[in-house]
Amino acid sequence: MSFKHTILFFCALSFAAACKQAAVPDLKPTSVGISVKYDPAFGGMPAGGIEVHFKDVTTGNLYMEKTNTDGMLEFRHIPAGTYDISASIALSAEEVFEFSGILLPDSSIFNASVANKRITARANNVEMVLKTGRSGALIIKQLYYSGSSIQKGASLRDQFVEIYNNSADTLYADGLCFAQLKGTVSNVIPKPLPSWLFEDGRLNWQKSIGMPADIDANGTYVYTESLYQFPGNGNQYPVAPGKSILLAQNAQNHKAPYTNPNGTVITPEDPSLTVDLSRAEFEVFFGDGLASDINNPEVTDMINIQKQGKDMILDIQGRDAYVLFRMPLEPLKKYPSPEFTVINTKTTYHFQVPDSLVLDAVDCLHFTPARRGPKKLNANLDAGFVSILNQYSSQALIRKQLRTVDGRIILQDTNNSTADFQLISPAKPKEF
Amino acid sequence: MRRQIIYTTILVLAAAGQQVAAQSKEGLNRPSAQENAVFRSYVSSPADLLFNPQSMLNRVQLEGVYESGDFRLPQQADRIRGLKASTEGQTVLKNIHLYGAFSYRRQWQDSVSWTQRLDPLSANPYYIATERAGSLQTADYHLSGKAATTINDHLLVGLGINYQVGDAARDVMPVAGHSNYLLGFEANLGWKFSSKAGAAFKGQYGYGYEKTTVDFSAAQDQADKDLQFYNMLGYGTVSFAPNKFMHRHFNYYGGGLNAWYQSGPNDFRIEAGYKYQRDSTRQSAKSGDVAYMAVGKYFSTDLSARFTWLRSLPGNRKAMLQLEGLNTKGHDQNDSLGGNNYRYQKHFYTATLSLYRYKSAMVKNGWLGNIAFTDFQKLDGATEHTFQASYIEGYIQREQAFPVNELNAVTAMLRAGGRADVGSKLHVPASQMNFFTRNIALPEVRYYQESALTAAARIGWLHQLKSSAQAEFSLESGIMHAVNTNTPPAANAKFDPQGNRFYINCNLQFYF
Repeated sequence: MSFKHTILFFCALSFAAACKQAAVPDLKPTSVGISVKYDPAFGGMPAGGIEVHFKDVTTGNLYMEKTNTDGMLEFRHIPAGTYDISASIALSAEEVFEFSGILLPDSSIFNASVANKRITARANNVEMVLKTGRSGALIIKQLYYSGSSIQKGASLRDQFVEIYNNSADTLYADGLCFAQLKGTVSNVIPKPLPSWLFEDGRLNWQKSIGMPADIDANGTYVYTESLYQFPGNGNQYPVAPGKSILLAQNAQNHKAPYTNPNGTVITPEDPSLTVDLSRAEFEVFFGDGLASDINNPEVTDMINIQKQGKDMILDIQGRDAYVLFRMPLEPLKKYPSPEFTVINTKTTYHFQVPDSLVLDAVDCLHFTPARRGPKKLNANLDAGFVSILNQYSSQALIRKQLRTVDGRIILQDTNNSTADFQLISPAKPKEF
Repeated sequence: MRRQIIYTTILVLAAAGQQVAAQSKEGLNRPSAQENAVFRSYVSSPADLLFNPQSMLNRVQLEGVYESGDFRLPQQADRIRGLKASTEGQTVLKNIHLYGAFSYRRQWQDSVSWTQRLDPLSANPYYIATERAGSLQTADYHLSGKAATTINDHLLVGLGINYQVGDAARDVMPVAGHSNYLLGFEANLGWKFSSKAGAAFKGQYGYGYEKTTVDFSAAQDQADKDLQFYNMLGYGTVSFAPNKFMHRHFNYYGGGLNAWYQSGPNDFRIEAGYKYQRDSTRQSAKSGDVAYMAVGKYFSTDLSARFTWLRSLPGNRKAMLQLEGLNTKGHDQNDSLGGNNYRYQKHFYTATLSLYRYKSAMVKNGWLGNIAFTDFQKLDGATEHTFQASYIEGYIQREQAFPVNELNAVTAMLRAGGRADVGSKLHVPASQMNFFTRNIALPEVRYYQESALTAAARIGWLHQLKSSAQAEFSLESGIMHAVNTNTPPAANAKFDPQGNRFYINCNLQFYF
């Protein structure tokens, strides 16, 4: 073979080898079968024609499909990963009655959601139950937990919650309760999985010491981390239709310099980043020595039923869930947190609040998607979740305006906070 | 303390290497491109030293480089500045042939984005990435040594060691720190049939790691979307990075056969090799944590072959033909997905032909031409990303020296070439497009689909220090210019490689 032929042979061999395709990876895009049913309380029928949103938490890619008449659908050719899944449908009272035989007073929104669902490369199945909750009269209008700049604003001293009367009647704040809920805040799930945790990281309250076996401890109750009650004899603190009340951590004008009990003058460099809460109707005062916990004698103090920390501090990263409810006549039961397998001095106890008492609830998750733990609320209370973009950012979450009736603004309340709330910055206490 | 020991060892060995070089009696002086190619072949394994057809090469080099331009891959820096100091030498002590090399390199890269690893072109699919571009400063040391001898004039034995250590830091958020380490060994055992022919088996083994820590200097910055940490888990599969520390540990082994034959004016060298490498990547909250999360493993196999033919011709001329082939196959075992999600395949073939006339130690004039074909594919199963780059590139260069007087000469080099796409493509179903596709895959395939023209020129001043010692100062500059003959860039692509990429290189070398 001549030199020329050798070169030609070498080239031909090279190109032949190069044109060969690489072997295909074993893993393929995965598929997810989803079945959607109505709440067993409404007959548990398969829910057909429901649009299901399937959102890749990492990439933000959104896939949407409708269920067939059997309430089933399959998402095909999607990458394995972590997904938020949600479904929602608005039904008239007649439509609800038609499939359930239950006559509701008004139209209802049925929601189902699963957050941070791990979808594997193998076949996956997800069951979703559409639940409806009450559209509340007293609802959370604005949540301001991010706080403002540590250097230029008021740090986390200026946190507040605004509660709104979304009904046409005057209602009373007296006896109303506001609570932060107990739940898992971390996205790191220990291995091996403890018996008191679900696979997605939620606490399994059924494992709580003393929990009756014949109740659905996880599906029909929430558990408080802190609990504050509005004072009053029943008609002392009216809230007019379309009006709101402010519950402040510290009812101060945070835009202005003030002196804390240690004699330190606190001056915000940029007052526009923070808020004036000196006219708040209510505040939480512990008096446990936290420098920023200053009592404003002009503002009514809440009744501190269950304290957490040294003040009503809302998680600045957003790892709280909040509920409004009316205290029942029967005292609420308390149960130890499920991670305590024996009772000792460190055991914490948490009030068990039936879902049926809850007037409004909002689930919040960490502002960084990668650090989000599981949701704390079931879909009947909040099918979605809200989050801010950053801590100490002056950002607040405010409920969207649905319509105006006779000058009264009606706020959107579908029990899906993802749809009902929007982000604003800075916070605007009682702007309307 | 450990680092101090390593650096001290490096300095001691470097000094030994220089001592090796200083003891050389006969020097190659400034090598031509042809001599350089032959030299590289004959120091690639210890036993090669025994059949070196050229005079020995000993040199000390100081080099500065600046590189910039938008015709680049999306995970490469826009601008790179670098400094390198290196020394290498050959000698014979009694019957033992020795080779030693040491180099220290510093680089300053700006605008590195979508990757937090030291080698952005690595085929290994596992790394941490953030979108925000930032500067990366690297420093690395490389030390190698080889020794070979014959026992009873026939039995060939050779040993080699390869040691690399480096670290890098990124001071733009997210701040990052890297450290890497490699220790490799090679050995030859063969038979010298005569003074003109021999063959040896080669074995090699090595191990090392690369550690990466990413972090924020202020908690508030975590929320910025372009600072989000991602785990890259293939070519399209991504997830949020749950931890800030990534540890890639690897080891490799391989074997091969080298053969040499000299017949009259011809010197032949042939080498066939096999290398298997296993990379294991894991993550934890911080360095040293006992609890960690397995991310994935990557396995790659290289098959390589190289043939060198050097022929002496009348009139002090030499011709060289070099043929080289490399076939790489890789696949992963993705721990979070529970299976094989990624495959990699590469074919690379190149041929170099050169003809030089050696008038004197200073005047070495000649032509060198090279043509290469590269084809590589990256496939991601879960997201159905199928990437293929396929191109032919080549150049021809002329080296010429112009004597000024007996002790000085001006050296020059001109090179012209190009790159042509022969089938680069990317296939991604619309439903699988994500930010990886837009920021990395689409710009990358665009880069390879662009045909390009290349040109380079070098000019230098060569001075004869003494009979076997020379010094040269040279400046080299080159450019790669994209020829926009293809379709416009994909609308979704976040970066469009286009325009030019140029470099300038300043070099001071001593040969003895």
